[in-house]
Amino acid sequence: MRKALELQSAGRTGPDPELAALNTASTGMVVQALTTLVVLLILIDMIWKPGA
Amino acid sequence: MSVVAAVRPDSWNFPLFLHVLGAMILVGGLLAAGGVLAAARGDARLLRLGYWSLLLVSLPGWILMRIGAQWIFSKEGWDDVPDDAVPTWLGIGFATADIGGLILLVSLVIGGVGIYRLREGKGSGLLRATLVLSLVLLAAYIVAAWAMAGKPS
Repeated sequence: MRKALELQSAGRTGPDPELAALNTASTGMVVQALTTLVVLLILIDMIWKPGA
Repeated sequence: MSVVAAVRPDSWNFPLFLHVLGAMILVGGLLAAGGVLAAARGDARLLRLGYWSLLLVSLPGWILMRIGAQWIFSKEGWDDVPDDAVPTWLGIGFATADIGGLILLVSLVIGGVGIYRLREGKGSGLLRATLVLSLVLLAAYIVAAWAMAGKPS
């Protein structure tokens, strides 16, 4: 987001390879996968109610 | 809470899980597709991303939700209940699932033609129609989720 704002303020609104690389970084994928896993675990917990 | 948990037999859990998971995927796909199509402003890449989100996320989500719905409906014994005794929340769920599924299919067909026309350089009007239908579906499914979860009557 910061990089995109920097590029925009510099007047570079077209495609940028550095920004594209940041957007496809593995960190984003890992965070997305972890979030998905957590939501799935919450759903399982809500339905099976272990210990209830 | 323990009493409520004890009321539902364990054998209902998996069909219910499939139903809720499918509904979550469906709404997530609609939100992503609607958001991307709304933000696209004629950008072909974003228009395609929005359409494919609808096709590859929302449609499988709808199928999973509908299969889970029928399964849990049958498990809970609603098959044996007369139509006039079926509660409103269940009617809302069925109506939005089935009519919504039809609207989803129509929006996918319109969007598919829109993608083809986009490739031919003929504009993105049909994809705007897909966007409108996606937002209508999203609103309907939010009401359905409230009715199914809150069971007002």
